[in-house]
Amino acid sequence: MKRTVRRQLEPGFNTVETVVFMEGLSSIEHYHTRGERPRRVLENINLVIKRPESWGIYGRSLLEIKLLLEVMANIKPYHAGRCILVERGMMRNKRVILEHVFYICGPTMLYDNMNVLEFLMFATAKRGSGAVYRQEQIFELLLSIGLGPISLTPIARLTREEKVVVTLLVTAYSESVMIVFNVPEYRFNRMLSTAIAHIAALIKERGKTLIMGSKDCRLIEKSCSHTAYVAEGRMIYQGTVEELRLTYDKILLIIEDPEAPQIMERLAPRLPELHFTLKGRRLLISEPGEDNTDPHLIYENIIRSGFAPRSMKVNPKTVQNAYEEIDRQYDL
Amino acid sequence: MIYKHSYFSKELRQGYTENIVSSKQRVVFALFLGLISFAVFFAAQPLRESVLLEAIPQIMQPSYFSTLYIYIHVALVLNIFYYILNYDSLFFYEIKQNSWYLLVKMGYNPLTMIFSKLTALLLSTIFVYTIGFFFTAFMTYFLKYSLIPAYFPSLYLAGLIDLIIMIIISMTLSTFVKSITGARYFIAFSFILLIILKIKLGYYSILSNRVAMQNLYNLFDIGRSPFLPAAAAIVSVFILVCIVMARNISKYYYLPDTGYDGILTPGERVVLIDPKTGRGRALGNGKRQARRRKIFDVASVSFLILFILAALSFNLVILAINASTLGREVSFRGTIPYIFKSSTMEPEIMLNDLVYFKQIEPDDKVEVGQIILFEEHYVTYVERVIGIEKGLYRVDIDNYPPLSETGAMIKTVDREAIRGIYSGRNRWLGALILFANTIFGRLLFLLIPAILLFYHRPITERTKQLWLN
Repeated sequence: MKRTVRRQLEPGFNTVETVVFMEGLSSIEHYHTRGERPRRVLENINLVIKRPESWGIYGRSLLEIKLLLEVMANIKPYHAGRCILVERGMMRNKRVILEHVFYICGPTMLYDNMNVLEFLMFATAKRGSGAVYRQEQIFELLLSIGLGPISLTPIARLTREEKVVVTLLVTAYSESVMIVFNVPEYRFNRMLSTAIAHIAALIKERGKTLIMGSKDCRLIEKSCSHTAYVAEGRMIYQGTVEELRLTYDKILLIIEDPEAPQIMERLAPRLPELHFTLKGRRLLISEPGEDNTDPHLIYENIIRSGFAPRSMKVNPKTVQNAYEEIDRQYDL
Repeated sequence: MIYKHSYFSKELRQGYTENIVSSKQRVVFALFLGLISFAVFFAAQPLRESVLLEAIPQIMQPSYFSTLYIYIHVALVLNIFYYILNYDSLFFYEIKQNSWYLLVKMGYNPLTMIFSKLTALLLSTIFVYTIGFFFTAFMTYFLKYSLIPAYFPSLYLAGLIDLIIMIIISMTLSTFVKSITGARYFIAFSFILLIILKIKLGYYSILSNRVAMQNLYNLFDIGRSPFLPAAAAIVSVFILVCIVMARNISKYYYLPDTGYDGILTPGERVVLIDPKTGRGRALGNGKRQARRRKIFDVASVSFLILFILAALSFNLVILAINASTLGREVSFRGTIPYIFKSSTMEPEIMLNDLVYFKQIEPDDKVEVGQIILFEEHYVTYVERVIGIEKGLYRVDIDNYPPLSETGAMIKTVDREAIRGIYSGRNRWLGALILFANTIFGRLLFLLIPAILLFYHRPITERTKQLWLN
């Protein structure tokens, strides 16, 4: 029966374009501060996610990110608005397992008495292909995405972050078109961030959409094609990562030198159209307007001021800076 | 190595990483069960000369029946410990940890998994139980007791039935309970209920009867006890409920018990407001967990203190009784406790009974027929007063050994030599003191409190992890 249902749905999934459609959505959950009116955790959220894309939902509050993804995955109900999943509406029955959604919010899905490769083989056993070929493929995949060091480690010995990454890898083999990776409270190290980026690419390549909640801008930059920013319960930004970086990251140059404050003092009167921010030994030079100042011009000014900074580089435009800029603009 | 396990083979392995390791571990567990049963049997042997021989002859008698009878109970208790320790992987609780969510999404059939899980646990339990049973019988062979194989099938079956009942009940409960802690309490509670049911339905009187147990049919004889038909009905209902519930809960994704604990920033309070009633319900911010931890801390520390104090007090009493010497008898509020290590006063006072003597003053009256504690030539005696002549008391024992001359032990005692008059006895306390003086008793009452005193912190932490996760 289950197989039949899947076969019926699969062709539908292939033609689906919009994976999540949210319109004016607000949550049942409220922030409650003594002496103040309760405020909804999510208020008037509009969001459209298509396939195949990988989304990083960023926010200042872990709760807002987590709740948004829970609503999106049909785990939690919402108060008002519309939320349509995979162009099929939204189930009234919450937490029920949906064919098209794969939801991850913790490390408990794996079996501790297996190693990583063994579990992946076990999980993918119903996905056709011979065991020998499949194991070879999975092992090679583990090596290629940088999870080689833990491939034969018993799952009981993995950290919770490693466990959720292994779970995420399983989703790439699933038939769900929408994968929700809702662990914004976790901190992933470099190895795991790289693995997530690879898995996100793999998921996208297989025509699925990954939606992950994270407060880690680097991870979003590495793994996501799209990003959204939720702050104070509202959707502040949604679009591609590229667009975000180019639009909001106004920093042109980053200078690192022990004399950064002195450099700033000298340069500020010379380049009044630029904005200077001091972060320890780092001086960030940004351009508030749309003038496209040539970095070379700034460099010449620094040399003329009599300084030779130890390090000076053109800002590669990061998600971190872009979101910081959004924070400034929205006074968050 | 190519990994191609089915769900059933994974379940058969239970908590172990490899099939070979899991089989070895299981055999070791079975042997451990057998050895523990033997240890209990040997620990009980020094207590044979006490009330225990009459109360629980099925354990105290030197026979295969005793060792196997102990084994079927030890196997049940230790298996329950095993279930409690490995609860999250052995039972359907893993569905609520979303392990099945992933598998269902990956094409596994929940119904097949339900049957595989049940069958695998039953098979592995039967495997362990059987090895342990025959290992215990094998070990008993070296004690040269007379072998009566007739009660082997009945004992084997009785123990196995208990285990099956507990597995089915625990499996079913695991589909209802929300937290592991609750489930562990439920398993322990079910075990107690099972014992009560067996006692109430007269099943224990068959189990404890060596003659009745020589006929397997007696276990199923409703006239003797309706326990087995009742158990069969309970198991059938529980199996049905278990399958239906497991199938139902496997359709859902489960959120962790902790809710938003660890997600909310300090001071942040989130409430879920019901749109219909407008009432708010606070969502987790770690307070619930903290409260549970506090309750656990208070309960465990109180229990530890009580246990250590009780054990120490008990040891002090035993030391005092053991150290009481002639003329310097220890008395507690005018009562002299005395361990009677003779059968000369049977049936009034049995061997190893704890006897209480009322300490007497010089002007207290001693009458004929009373049992007295007196000293003669630096030896303490307990005998009955059979006559009083010119201020001297004639005393004699109640029970002469066979073939000995009656009246040979009659003595005449001065009033000053009498220390106390018999006021009562406690056979169970006598057995307990006897046990406390054995090596196992010393370990239990002295070593364990000492260990708890010095290592209470890691022990409490480990228990907390186990019960509060």
